[in-house]
Amino acid sequence: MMDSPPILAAEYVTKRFRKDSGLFARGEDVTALDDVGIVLAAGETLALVGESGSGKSTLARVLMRLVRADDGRVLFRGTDIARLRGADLMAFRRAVQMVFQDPFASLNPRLSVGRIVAEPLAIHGIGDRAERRKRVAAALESVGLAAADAGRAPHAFSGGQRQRIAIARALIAEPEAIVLDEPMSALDVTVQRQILGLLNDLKVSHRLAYLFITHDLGVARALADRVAVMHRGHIVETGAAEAVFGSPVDPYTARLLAAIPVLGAGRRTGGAP
Amino acid sequence: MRTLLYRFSGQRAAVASLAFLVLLALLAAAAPLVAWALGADMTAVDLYHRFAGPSLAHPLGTDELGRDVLVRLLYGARVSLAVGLIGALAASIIGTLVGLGAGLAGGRVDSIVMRFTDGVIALPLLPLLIVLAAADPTKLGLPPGFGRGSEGGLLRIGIIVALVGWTTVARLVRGAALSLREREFVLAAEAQGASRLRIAFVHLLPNAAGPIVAATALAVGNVILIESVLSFLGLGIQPPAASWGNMLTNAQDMMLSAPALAFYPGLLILATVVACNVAGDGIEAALDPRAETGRD
Amino acid sequence: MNRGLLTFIAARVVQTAIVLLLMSLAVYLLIGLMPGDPVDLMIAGDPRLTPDDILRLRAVYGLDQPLWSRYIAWLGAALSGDLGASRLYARPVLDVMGPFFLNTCVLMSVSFALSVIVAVPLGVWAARRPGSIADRAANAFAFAGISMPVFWLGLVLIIVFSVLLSWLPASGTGRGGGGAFDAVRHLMLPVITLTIHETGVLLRYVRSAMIETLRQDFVRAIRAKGASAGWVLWRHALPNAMLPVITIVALSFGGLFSGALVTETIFAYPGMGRMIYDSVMGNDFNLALAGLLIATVLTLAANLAADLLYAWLDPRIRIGGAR
Repeated sequence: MMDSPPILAAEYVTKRFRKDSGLFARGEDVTALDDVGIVLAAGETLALVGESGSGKSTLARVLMRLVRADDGRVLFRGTDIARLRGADLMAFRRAVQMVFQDPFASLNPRLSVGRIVAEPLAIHGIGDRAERRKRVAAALESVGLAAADAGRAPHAFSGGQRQRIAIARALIAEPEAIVLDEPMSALDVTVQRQILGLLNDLKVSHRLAYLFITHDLGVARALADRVAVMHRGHIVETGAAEAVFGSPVDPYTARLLAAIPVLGAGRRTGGAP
Repeated sequence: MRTLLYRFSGQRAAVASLAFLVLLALLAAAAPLVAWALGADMTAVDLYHRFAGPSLAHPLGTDELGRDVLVRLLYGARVSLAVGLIGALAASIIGTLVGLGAGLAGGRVDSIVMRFTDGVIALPLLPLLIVLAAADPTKLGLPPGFGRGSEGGLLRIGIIVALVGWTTVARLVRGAALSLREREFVLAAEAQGASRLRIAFVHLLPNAAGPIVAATALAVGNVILIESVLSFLGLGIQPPAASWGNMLTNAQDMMLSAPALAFYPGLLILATVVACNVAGDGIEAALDPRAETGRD
Repeated sequence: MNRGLLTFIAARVVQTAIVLLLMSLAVYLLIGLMPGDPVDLMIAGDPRLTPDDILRLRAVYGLDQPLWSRYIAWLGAALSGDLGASRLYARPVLDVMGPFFLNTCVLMSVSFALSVIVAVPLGVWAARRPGSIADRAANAFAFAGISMPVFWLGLVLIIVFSVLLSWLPASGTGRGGGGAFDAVRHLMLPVITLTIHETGVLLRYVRSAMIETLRQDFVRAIRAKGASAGWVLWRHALPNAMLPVITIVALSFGGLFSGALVTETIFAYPGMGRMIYDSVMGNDFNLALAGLLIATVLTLAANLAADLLYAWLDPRIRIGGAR
């Protein structure tokens, strides 16, 4: 269907960690990612679901080039990200942004909100001071905050608001894709719905691709075009959202669907309301 | 920052110490004024009035060469405070840079730097300082007479102190850098392509600033002690320039004739260093969210 | 002892040896910074030396070699036990150092032991009631101890006890023939001087380590089970608090040596510190080098001992790394 290469593609990615061994005993290896492959095309929302410890966050970090894979590679528009240097690397960093799970840890407590949101602009050398201030104001407003909030410190805001700030920071350099690592797990239920709505709107208005990592199937259902299911470092099933949710192929996926109460969107067979 | 000041101001001992230090600094700055008021210069020798007791002309008496003790004490305060501040700052800056570098780089670089730091810590301090103080500048390619004379002496001691004093701060900063590095806001900056330099100075340093400040305050006290020992041994500030340490150098010989002369400089050293330590402790306690006694 | 522990010990010992080697180079270079060199001093002593003589002397002493080969030569000799001769004493360095080393060992160990005996119980006791009068007094005492210039303390003690009261002697070791009691009398003031400072240092660390430990949940759990405060303190809290204290104690060893140097100078006590000072002032390269080296060895050995002790005592490590 697509002629241009997908924004992000992981091929045969493997990552092992040595378990903390203390001083003397040899640690065992834990395979966090085993031969993982996924594809994120332009403009689509791919949900990556799985229980805790399945390796989702590790995959996110490998995709963002924060962690180096032991095997396999990650392609950005067809180019191996490990080979990127200089201006190409910066282009990648600008095009693919990340929103983290913990809104209380992902913002530098010593900086003002304005400086936090403006950081991508500063790093990529975009605009002068006046220009940046305008962009920060616009970014804050697009996530539902006020331009005046730029002067305040992060600790003055609630969890939901901080996550909005993180999203504003991710948007400000006009990326093509955002990797969101469980962006709502740390928030209250009502706040979750707001953020979900915001993300949905932004996806359309900014024409973004999302890699949405979550353990909450209801959220995945509400947002995703395609779904990938992860279990203990393996991708066990991929496909269009309706297909996977409607008729899962893999037994693990079926168990997942049956066991976890679905939040809000629609009724499932035998599931909780 | 505001909470820090608030918590600090709640500790009476720390605030009192800070006040004392400020007062001392003001008096030291006013030393020339006092000298002029008493009509006695720091080096004014008056052999007819040696070992004089307290009087209107000499509020604290005179020393073995008839020089006014009060004036010399105040000039000595200048030396101690100046060396203390400059030495501690220099050591802090060096230590911070080393610690940031090691903590950020991680892996082998970090290991090597830390081994080097441990090595420097392992060197016995005073013997090392003595060797450094007695060193011949020409062997390092510096002009002879470098570090002699009053300004030169200050500079020399400052350099020596910075050369050995950076280790504490380096370890501190490295530890902070290692733990901060894993925090998500640092990862976020990395994900945006922030350079190592940017991460070090915009993200790591401001979040490690508190402990650095506390360590620097404590370092001031240590530097003052070091300077006084070196001057006492004749390797620091040379007479006729006054330093609390060199005022005590001849005190041993004069124990029988004027024991009082041995008390003032030492007392001042003690008071100043205690003040530095208490203030430094106060900063540390203000930083600790689980302060044991909190406000007095 | 499991294999893991043995590997650890071996690794640490090897590491220490490497650091020691590097430190020997550093010390060698530092001593080289001292004014003049052995031949210059000979020239000063004998103005009849011609430039040819000087050249030959330089060659004989190997002073015309580059720094590296001089260092290697010295290292080789040192490892086979030859540390050269002392200029000041006209005897082999090792002969000269012996008695000094002994004296300093006596001074340092007695002071160290005393300060541990005072600081540990005091720190533990003060930690029981943080903020109380007793605790504040102990804290004040500790502050004073660490803030006081050691040499001034020595002076004051001399003035009070030797000059004014004539109770104790102000200098020397009294080994010349006054017998054991006289030796002890001579030791008292230096030891007290050194102990006060060291006690202050240790007291602060013991106290804060104890407070930190007592705050932890496991202590409250034990107390909730009905154990008396004393039992909790000595059986459970203290061993846990001792771990960081041991590290601190070993690290403070270097500071103890510096304090000893000053103390020996004040009291004319013939120890290593005094020896180093005199040799540096007197441009006695070999002696200063050897002295500095021994001091470094001692400090490194103390650090190594602390590491090993820590590893041995920490039950997590002893059991073998299972986490």
